[in-house]
Amino acid sequence: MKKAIDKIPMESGINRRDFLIRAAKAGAGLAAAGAIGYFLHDPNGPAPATATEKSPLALPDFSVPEAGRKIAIITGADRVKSVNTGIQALGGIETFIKKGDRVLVKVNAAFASPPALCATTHPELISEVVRLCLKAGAASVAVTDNPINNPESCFALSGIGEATQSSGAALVLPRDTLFTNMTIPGTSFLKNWPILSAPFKGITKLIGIAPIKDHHRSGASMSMKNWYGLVGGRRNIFHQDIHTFIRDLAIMVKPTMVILDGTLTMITNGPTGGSLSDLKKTETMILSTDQVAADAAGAVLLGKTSGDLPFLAKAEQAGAGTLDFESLNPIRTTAA
Amino acid sequence: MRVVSRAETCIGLFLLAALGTIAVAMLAMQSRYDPALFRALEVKGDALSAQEPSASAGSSQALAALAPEGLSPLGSEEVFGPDTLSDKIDGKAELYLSAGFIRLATQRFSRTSDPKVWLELFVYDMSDSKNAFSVYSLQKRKDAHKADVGTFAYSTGNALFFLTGSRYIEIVSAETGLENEMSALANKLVRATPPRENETMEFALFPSEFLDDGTISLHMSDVFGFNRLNNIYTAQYNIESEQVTAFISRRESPEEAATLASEYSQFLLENGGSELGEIPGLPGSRLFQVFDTYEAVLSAGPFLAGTHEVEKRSAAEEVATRIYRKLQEGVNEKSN
Repeated sequence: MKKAIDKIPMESGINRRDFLIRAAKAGAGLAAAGAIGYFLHDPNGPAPATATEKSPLALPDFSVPEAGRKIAIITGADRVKSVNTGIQALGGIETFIKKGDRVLVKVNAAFASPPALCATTHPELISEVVRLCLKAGAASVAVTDNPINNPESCFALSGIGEATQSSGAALVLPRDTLFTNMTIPGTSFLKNWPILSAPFKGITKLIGIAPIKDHHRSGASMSMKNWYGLVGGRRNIFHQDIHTFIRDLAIMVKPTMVILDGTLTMITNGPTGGSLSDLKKTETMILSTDQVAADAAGAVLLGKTSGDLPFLAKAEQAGAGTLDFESLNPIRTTAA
Repeated sequence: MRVVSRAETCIGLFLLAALGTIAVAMLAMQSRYDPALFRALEVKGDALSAQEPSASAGSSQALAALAPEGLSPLGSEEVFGPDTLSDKIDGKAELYLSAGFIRLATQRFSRTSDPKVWLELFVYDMSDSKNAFSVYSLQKRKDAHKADVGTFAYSTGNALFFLTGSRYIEIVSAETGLENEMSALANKLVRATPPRENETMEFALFPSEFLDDGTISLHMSDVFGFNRLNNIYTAQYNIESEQVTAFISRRESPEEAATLASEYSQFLLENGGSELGEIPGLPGSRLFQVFDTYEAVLSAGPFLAGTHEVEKRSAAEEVATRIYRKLQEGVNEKSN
């Protein structure tokens, strides 16, 4: 039978021996290709860049050690009076801003939303802070953010653009060229990631001003979440682990001072809101050199605890501040 | 063995070289992968060209064309898809994405006589009326006033929220005093996108006595912290001086409803609950005490129902009994 098969003439002229040799070669080729594929397969996907890779330096530390860790909680319905009272309570603007300082004010201009809805930093507050900085001798004040919506619309419709320019500050709109890929040591996500770094060139002081808002994803949007606006790229992917990312932001930014506006607090449907009925008259302004403490105090206005907002404990563990704001002996007073 | 021609050898070598080049290029590209550079494309298209065809909602119709007398389009229409929704509403996107979101179209309008007075129209296409009701109900403001437009509607001081067909609509004005313009715009929009006929939802099965019908909500996923609980309607009852949260969900079959009731009961037991037995007169029902509150779980035909976090046992039993009877009536009518 075997001999009979060997003698079967094949149209291609291949005999049984040739066929087996070719089949073995083809099989070996397939096996080799599979083995190479298996060897090259990376089940974890591409890893982010590591901190040791070449990357520009992290953002400078803008804190003022001699100012100490302080917090002021001011009661009042007038933002201008509240911020003046608060800064005075922390030692006066001169404690933070010296003659010749170049100040950057990071606002929340995330949405093309009117000031009345309190989804963005209120323009009145920006004007007053800029005025105080210039009065203290600041050589320059710049205001910036990288909004969620179209930047031009956001700064125009929120009133922030006009408030910035009319008060004598420079408005820095985000452009691609203003971002630099940076790696922030100690963070989980900020590795070789675009950061709005150009506005920081030559800056000596940084002030964050944010409204206190409910946030559907993180539970709250306050001073630490406000630094989200310094991040570029496809940043919405960080919503998947928002609490760790807010901790990263707190590690990245060491501000001179943060100002949390709870004159009207968006307690529902944040971060966009949309209705005046999303707002509650809480008539409070929080100013602090400790951003974690400020946010912990702000959470109270939202009716939330540190347990509701895991990013607070994460930021504290990372050394960004204390969530036990009472331990800083808050200066509580009414706006004069 | 057949002799391979020179041409065949050349072609073979060329193909192998091409494959090798592709492999090298792939390796090189993936080693330089930068997630920051990958950004979702904006969805292009017309806002009203969604799934519900209507005579006046064709592809040529843009939101700007809906401007009523006294309003003029301010800027151009923006359209967002699932990948870009967060570019417009940031962290609130998850609420919509988990409820069948297809696209959002927005258009601002300003008062023709005073361009500084403006409002913004948001048209969310949620693929069906049930999904639209979910996002509408979950954001409903507490101090809402009933409005006469679309299928469900309410207004607040500066805004109008309503449903029309599968669309959830928000009209948000920058300040108060634009009620007439908002109403005119809403009516034009409803005429352009009429709702389907005979749209009914399960919440009609909530017994009406003691029901606060303004509290009916539809939760699409992870309801009460249990990841298997989805498509659940909740409503508040004011009974025995207690506020009682009740829930109803239609499942695919009576078997599925019974299985889900069993699984949810197990979830309660695993999370600090203790079983108190069957509610009298409700065969198959189960009552649990979870810390200081009571949970009733039952199934009737294809419906899963119960009460959630009720402080008074008798109130939980009373509402569960009323719901069971109403559901049982429906089941009996259908079987007859």
